[in-house]
Amino acid sequence: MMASNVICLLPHLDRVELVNGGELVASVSVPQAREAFSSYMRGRLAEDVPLYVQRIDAHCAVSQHLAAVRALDACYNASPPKGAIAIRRALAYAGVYYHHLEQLFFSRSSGDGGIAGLVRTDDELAAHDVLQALRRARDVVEILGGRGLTPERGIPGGVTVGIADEQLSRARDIASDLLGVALRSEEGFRAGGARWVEEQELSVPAYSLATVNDDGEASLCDGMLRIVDPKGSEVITGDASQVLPMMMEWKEDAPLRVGPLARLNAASGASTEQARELQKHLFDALGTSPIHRVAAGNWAMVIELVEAAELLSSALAGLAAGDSELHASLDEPGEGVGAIEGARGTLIHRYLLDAEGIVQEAQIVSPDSLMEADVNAALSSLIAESGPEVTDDTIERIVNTIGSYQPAYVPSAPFSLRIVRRDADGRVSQEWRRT
Amino acid sequence: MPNKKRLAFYAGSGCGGCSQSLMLSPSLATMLDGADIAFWATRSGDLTEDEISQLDDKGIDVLMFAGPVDGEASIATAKLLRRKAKRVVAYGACAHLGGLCGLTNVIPGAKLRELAERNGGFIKPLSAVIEVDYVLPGCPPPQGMVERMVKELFLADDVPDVGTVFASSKGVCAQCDRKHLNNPLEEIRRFHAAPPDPDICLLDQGYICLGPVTRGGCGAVCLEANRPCTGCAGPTAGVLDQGGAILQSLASLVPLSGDISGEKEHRVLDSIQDIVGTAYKYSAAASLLKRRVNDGE
Ligand code: SF4
Ligand code: SF4
Repeated sequence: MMASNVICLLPHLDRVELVNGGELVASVSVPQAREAFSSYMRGRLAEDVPLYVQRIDAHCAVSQHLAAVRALDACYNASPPKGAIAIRRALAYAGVYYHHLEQLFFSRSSGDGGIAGLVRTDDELAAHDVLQALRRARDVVEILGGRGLTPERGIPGGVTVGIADEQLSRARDIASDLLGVALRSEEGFRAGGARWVEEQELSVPAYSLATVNDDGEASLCDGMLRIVDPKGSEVITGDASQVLPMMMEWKEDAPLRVGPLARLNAASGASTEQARELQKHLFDALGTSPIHRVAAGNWAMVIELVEAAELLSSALAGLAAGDSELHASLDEPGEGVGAIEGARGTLIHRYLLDAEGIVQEAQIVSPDSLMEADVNAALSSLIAESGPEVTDDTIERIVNTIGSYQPAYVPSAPFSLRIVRRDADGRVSQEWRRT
Repeated sequence: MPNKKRLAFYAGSGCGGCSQSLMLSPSLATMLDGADIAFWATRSGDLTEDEISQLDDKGIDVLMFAGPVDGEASIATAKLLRRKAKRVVAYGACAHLGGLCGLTNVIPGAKLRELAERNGGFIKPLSAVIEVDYVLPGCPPPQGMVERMVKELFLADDVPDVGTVFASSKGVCAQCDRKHLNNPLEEIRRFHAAPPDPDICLLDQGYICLGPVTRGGCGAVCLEANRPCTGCAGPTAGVLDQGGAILQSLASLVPLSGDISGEKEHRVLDSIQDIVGTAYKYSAAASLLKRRVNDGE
């Protein structure tokens, strides 16, 4: 692996392998590079960590930033003041909104050509409006996080500074517009993509991991981690350090799923009113939770776009400008684990700091690595169904299946894909491409 | 509107921030209206060598190249792309300076003198392997700079002079409105233990800020968020080694002790932890120091 992959590794997968020639087992493999990441971070200042990690995947930079910050809180045994938590939460929701809108409209590839095929864009909702909304969501991230694509405000123990009054009211104005775009997107999706989802029968029973709030509803930021089995029964609810060992040594009989569909399954429902209402349409069409139809991840994501906008509005309404209590004192540095319900799914960071606050060990458990087995199970059943010939239709279905999981390694619009078949000696015997 | 330009975007690797920064430009639609797109590859897998080879030599008016180059394959691609483009923009900190990836050139926790070249996978700025005509700095490039590039390169009738950097020729400090107290630098502080006073120059408070040696044009956005400038826009005009320049600035702020050994300067500068990650966060791959080491100096 080239050295650059240490920091930019995740978006680098563009290959599905049909291993062992005629056996036709498809697989994607996510570059883990755990060692490489740890060695890259070794020797770095703890307070710089949130700045480095957000460049792992700029599409999901807010989630990476906040997961690092939360792990660093734990390293310093710090309890950030309420005001700081409120800013971080609002930032998390803005980040989920930005991510979902970008993925749904600009990075997705599904049905007949991207989300344009899934969301009916008409005079009411033109591409121009969506791009404008994306820019404005970026502006909210900038107001809350300090920089538009790569936030800077989070530090161990809190945030660096509060938000000025006029900036806060600007963010509030933008947030109500963002909710409007989200609602129109959802409506457009139901007019277009919902039927497409209903037609996609590929279903993979999986365990679901998500973060839930005190009421057991899905959280798009912090809370307890919850895993339910494929039938929806709870397996464990705990904090990141309790759940991490189980996730690292996954021994269950079905793969683990994270992200919008897992949140739909692991929680009792969405945490906001309008999103909860919209979920009813999904359940009417696809049955009750848990839902294992892979393509339903798209539908769940559109609903979460609404949820993120609602949460953002109420978080901004609760923020007080000029709050000066934004940073807690820090204990001696040590080891810490922190999780965030990131846009793509549960994201866990762990760091070990020395007495000077310098990183000794670093570890990221990303949604991509968590859902690898799930994606592979979906691809295997798809290939088994499609038969030995790789046709345009097979390729399209592979693209759509991977896309439904929204992994970080599929960032481009629409993403390119190379499918190779290897012979028994590991040589590439056939190759298909889709760009 | 001038004649339609043929443009291309290529991100060999990277985090995706550069392509997003371009996509978010308010002038994107105007730019795309007035241009033909040769290709828009947001990572290397989007385009094969064969596909690039089939393009006419110099058939692209402007190629924006993002991401670092880090080995034979990516160097070969960069050279091939250069043949196909009349003008090349190093887009973003990775192409400009090697970016954060450049820190992988350095042995973890290394001292400066260990900035030595390793075999294979050594990150290089784009200008180390091909001729670069323009630079759009930043990680990712701030919106103001992207706008300037789009206007000057794609919307104006005249093309900018070769060598143009689409950022201010002044430092970040010029856009930072913190008060200066001209305090001497007695000790180095780290801002996570207690965030700095948001109204006073960070250097005056003992925090390392790369503002004085970094090109402005970003609106000092990190300072607004009460974080120091970490130098993403690269060195100011005329400064070759950004890290060396900030260390020199810091040394000049340490009050003279009258002691010829410079013991006090050493004590203050030696207390800087992760000196490479601090002074060369985005520019380790473009640093002059490794050349000195390699030259045996
Ligand atoms: S050194 Fe930093 S804080 Fe001080 S004026 Fe320059 S940019 Fe602002
Ligand atoms: S303040 Fe410095 S690090 Fe921040 S965006 Fe500007 S040049 Fe980059």
